[in-house]
Amino acid sequence: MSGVIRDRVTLIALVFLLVCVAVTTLAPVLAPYDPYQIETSRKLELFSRDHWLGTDEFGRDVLSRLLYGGRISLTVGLMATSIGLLSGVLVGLCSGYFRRLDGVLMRLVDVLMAIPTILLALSFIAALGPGVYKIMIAVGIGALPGFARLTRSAVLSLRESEFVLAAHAAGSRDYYILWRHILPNVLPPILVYGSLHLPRALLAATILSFLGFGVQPPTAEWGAMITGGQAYLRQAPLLSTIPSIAIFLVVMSFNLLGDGLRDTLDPRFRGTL
Amino acid sequence: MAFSFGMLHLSPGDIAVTIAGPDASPDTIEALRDELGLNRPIFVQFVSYIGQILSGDLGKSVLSKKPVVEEIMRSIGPTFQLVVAGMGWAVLTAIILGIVSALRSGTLMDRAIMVGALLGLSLPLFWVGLMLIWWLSYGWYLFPVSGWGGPIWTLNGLHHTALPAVTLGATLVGPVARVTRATVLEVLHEDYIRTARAKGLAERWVIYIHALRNSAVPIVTLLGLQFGYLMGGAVVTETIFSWPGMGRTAVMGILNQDFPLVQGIVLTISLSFISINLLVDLLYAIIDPRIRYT
Repeated sequence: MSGVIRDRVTLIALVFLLVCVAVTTLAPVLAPYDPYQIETSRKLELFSRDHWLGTDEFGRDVLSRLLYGGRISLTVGLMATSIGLLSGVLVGLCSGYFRRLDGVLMRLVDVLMAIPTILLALSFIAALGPGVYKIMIAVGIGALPGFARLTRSAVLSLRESEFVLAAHAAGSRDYYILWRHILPNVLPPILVYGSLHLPRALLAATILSFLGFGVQPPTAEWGAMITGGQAYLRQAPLLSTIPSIAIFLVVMSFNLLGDGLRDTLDPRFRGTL
Repeated sequence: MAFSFGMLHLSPGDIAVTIAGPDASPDTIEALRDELGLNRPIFVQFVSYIGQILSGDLGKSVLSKKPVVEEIMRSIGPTFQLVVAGMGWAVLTAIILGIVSALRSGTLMDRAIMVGALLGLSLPLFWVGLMLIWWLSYGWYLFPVSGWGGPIWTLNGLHHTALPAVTLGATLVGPVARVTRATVLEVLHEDYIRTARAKGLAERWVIYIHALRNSAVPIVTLLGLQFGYLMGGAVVTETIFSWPGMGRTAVMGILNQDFPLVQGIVLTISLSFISINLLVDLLYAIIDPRIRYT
């Protein structure tokens, strides 16, 4: 019974995420207003027929900014996870397969793991300056150690498998063995980890934007909208609440989806993390 | 140390120009370059940097012109206070919820707690803080909006620490409760628990002395790892509540391009994170005498 409920919950989460992606992608079509259109006579309005989610401190439509902002927020979270996944898998493959590189690569990974993700990202921002692309890179590099370690452990166990030894014996090159034989077998747990990591990357990216290191005004982005609404918390709490609820729903959906994928692939971990 | 050194030199442009400012004269920039040793080979600079750190010199803050060590010592106390308070209430709450959930596994209460834990995992930290301010500070005037009121053992200090600590700890409750539930559930099926109950020991004794102690290792491991997330969360919490801790100082440092200050803070927090995880490793031997380090 609980399995059926969990599958249904996972399905609902997946559908919600697909709807979010579709709606934010179609923002230029669906948004009722230009997200940068200022109308000072209608600032800090609550819900109305013209502005379903109200207006912000400059009279800009909150719904339109939410839709356009979602494109940036979701893209940053996805890209950051992708950067972490690609770089981490590459490091993990090389580290797990080539013994000579293992020590050096794992020490580099240890250095990155020793620093909390947000601080690691802040260090990169301090060096490279603020900006959306820099946040992607900063959060992505923070994700690298997790993917690298997971890939490495999987490669270490696969390296001595018979099919790999057979490929060696047949004269296959190392890169061919890695690409054709090892990588397809390590992908499932990596993808599960990626789905569990994506909400963390999204939250980290939003936090960095909230702190002022992401998009600069007047660009719409969920973290920046929350920062902008903070100054008007007393008279217009919904300015910060609406993008926060959006972030919460998306992050929870990714968490549920990740849980579902993990339970499907490895029921031993059901209900633990 | 290598990482924090590398970050400074990764930044585009001339570091001396960045520190001196765009209006500085070429002579000033050159003098600053000599003072910071930027004309020396990179390896010499790195060795010198390590030597400085080992002698306790983290340089001078660009903004305040005070030693970075002084700025860190000024801000480390409030951060420590916030993290301890946040972690303290969150761990206590999470362990109790996890145990209750494990004891009532499969019931409505168990599901409610686990759903709550998942919600807590997904909550943006800044939203929790802003909502607490809106509801309890602006709405009911129960707590101050911002600021540090002093050490936590003073009434004013406790009053000011309450909301930031609740904000910081809120996202920790979920993961700790889930792990506690999973490990306690596993332990409750062990033979020694059955033996303890058969001996007639009080249920509270069985749970808190036998079950919890044997579940402690994974929980302590998680807490060590979560400390890193907490430090990241402290940056956000301190910014929301204008708390004069290291996180807020680091954010101000980045916004003002105060590289030495940011470097020093990142180094300090990283060393704290490593020390906490070393402490966690040492705690294993105390919690579980079967674990011994040779």
